[in-house]
Amino acid sequence: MKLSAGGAARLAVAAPNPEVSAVASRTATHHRYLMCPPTYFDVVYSINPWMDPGKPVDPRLALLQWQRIHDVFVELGHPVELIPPVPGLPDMVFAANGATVMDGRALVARFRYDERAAESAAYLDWFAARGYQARQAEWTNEGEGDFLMAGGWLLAGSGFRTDRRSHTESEEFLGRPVIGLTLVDDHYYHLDTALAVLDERTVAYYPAAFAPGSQEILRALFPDAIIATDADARAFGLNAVSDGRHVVLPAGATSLVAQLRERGFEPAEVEVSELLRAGGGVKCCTLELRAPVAAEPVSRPAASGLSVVVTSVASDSHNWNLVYLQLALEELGHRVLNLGPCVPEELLVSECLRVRPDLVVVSSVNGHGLIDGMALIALIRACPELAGTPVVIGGKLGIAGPAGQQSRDRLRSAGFDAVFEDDSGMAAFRRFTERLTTRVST
Amino acid sequence: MTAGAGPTGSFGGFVTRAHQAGRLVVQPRMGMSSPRAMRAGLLATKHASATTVGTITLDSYTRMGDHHRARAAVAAGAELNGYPIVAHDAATTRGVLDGVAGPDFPVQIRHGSPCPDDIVGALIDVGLHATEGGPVSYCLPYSRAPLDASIRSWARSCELLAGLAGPGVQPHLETFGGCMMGQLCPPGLLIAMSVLECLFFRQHGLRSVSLSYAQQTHPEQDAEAVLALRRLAAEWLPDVDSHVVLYAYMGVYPRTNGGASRLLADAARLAVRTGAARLIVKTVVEAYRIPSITDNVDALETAAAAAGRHPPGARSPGDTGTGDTGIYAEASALIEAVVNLRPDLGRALADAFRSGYLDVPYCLHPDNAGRTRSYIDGTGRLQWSGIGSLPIRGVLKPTGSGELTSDGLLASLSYVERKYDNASLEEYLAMPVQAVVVG
Repeated sequence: MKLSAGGAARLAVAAPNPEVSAVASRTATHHRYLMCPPTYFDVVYSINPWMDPGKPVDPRLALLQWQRIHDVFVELGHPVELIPPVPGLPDMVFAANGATVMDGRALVARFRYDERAAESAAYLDWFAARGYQARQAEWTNEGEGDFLMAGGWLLAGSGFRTDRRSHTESEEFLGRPVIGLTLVDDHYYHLDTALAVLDERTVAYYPAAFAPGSQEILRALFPDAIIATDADARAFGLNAVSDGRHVVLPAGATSLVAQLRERGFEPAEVEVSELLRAGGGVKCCTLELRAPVAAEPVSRPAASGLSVVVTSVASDSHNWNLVYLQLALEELGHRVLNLGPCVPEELLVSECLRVRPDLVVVSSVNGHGLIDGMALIALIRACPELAGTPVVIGGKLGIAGPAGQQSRDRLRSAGFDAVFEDDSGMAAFRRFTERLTTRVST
Repeated sequence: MTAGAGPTGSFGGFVTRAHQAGRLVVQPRMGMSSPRAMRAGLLATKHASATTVGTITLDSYTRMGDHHRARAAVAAGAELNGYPIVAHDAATTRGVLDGVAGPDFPVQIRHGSPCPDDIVGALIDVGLHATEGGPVSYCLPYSRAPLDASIRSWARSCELLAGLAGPGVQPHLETFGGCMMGQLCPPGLLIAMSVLECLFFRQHGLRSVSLSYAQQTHPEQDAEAVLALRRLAAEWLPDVDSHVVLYAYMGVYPRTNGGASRLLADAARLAVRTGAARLIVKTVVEAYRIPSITDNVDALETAAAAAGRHPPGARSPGDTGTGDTGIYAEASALIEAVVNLRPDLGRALADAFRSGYLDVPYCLHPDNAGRTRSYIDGTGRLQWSGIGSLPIRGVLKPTGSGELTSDGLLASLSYVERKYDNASLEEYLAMPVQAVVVG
């Protein structure tokens, strides 16, 4: 699932400047990253001082900026895996927060705010499907947002997001000694906004973001650290990803970039203005997948099937027929939006206008399918945009057994493309979707 | 009770007294649109040879708040699938109840409405004080009403009901949380929902509640679940009157008389050996049609007879029976996670569904996260195959993976039906030819 290979969105990579590496003896090491495309990225709530739902986000620009980060990694030779974005989770693009991964174990986040809580399930499923030993943290834990490996230590932030109790839990689950660090400035709410790990022994950090005791710990552990200025921190320059030689970081952290060069690193600046509207930069978009897992992911068939809306009629509160249809359609390789029981006609029409499905499947088993179906198809066909959308109906359509030829004719002449009833209905329905798939894909 | 009198009695008190006397209370799911038929049904229930309480089940127009269509049907003399308590005027319903309902025969309103303000208003007007439901259990499975709206409406309705409490009257509310979709919901989540909804009822003033559990696919798993539910009730609701009500199987029902009767008898025995105080029955015609009054009385008497043959109180809540498979721990983890979200339980429930802390498998409601999946394992027990964000990873015992296919789903939905029908068929085939011909 490689994005945009050869496509129009392909961007010129901000290649590291080879001239400055003359003094360097820095060695890049192999890394593997997980990213999430910003398909649903937006700022609709505020959970950090950078977020202002009043200011519109440019989704195209956000995608281009994200794409550039992705492409820099690929150019540098680091494979990037993608986790599918989930509608309604605008911050899922910040994959670093999804988990902390080590030795085939993934400790999946438990988010501080409800708005992001649902992301955890997607990460759990993703890691579990790929053979990781995955579990969700018991206490609030925002993954690599607050947990960074440096040397043999797991540096662990707290103060705004991750619960200190999760430091202990991470130490136990991941088997690495934890160094707890307390954050005190809410602009730098995650450890990875105030500290960047450059290689096994080197970090860069912004001291004012840490409590005095934590500053002392950092001085003791990393006496040679690069110290970021206020301006570097404000530009989100510490939200960086380093492979030991190349450092990919948000553009504009001028002092930090100069210091990196002096120390033999090769900074690659990328523009992240749109992502920063949600308080995220390069590192926030990037989760490191440490230690490859032997088991290859189970490959799923490519998303080549139909986009199908499954629905009931307004008066029908039955669920299981709809669940069954969804499973059956998904097994045939189609993508299903299931509107569930008791769907008002207006809602069905507005969802169809929004999704523009390849097929609409109406299922009714309460005996009102004929009456309600006639009303529903009239509304759908009244929309010029949906005049040609295939719409079928099936189930138990009449109160007293099968609806009969006459009723089926009525439904068809009212605008249904096909009518399927009870026993033999499912086989005929499968054949219908096969023909439709062939038609749509050619 | 006489027409015009205020409410008297206590539904919960009646059940508790019967339970203490070693008698299982049995109750139908009965609702007719005509007042005369409804009264006849209540009288037949009252006089059945069993310890009974009465039920008035409402029709689906009233359930959905469409009183206009319910009134039109009443005016036209058309049959509805239940009793339209809002469409009928209060005097008519008082006439139905007069001389039937009272402290010796409490009557409960069962409906299924996510927003029950009108219904609760109407039942109070006619002098009743016991009903069933809950902000989640009456909303998610069978409606598209927003969960927030249902929570607000149920909070108001609880407070209205609770306001009836006085000398001689103790209003009662039963949670439907132990049913959730009827089938394929693992027991830990069912009993957690029951406890959480009863905590919600208590927060809104009720002092007498019942916790429900619907019979599922495996007798020992069911027994463990009911015992766990009683233990959780003692822990979380120590200061209110409470009992456990068991629902005879709520999924696809056996088609043979033998299979259907045996399933009901098993429910009655389950109730008795686990200390459930009340049983809601199903009839042998459930798979085909709306049961008649006679069907209902037969079911009540079948259940009572099966219960009577079984020694009561065989097991206490502390007794986990043949093995603790972790239902109690799973339910405790769910309840604790939800009550710790916010002090206001209504908001906690809404947040819990939003974040996937509560997530009903296969439920398509827009406010349900829909990331959990379940299946029936090789031994017939319900298991999780995907727990989404349910906060139970720490307590969940490892189970096999059983991702359901569409065919697997159909097989699972009819698992109980096939099990009981096949047993019945084998018995039929084993009978002497003479008996078969005569039978």
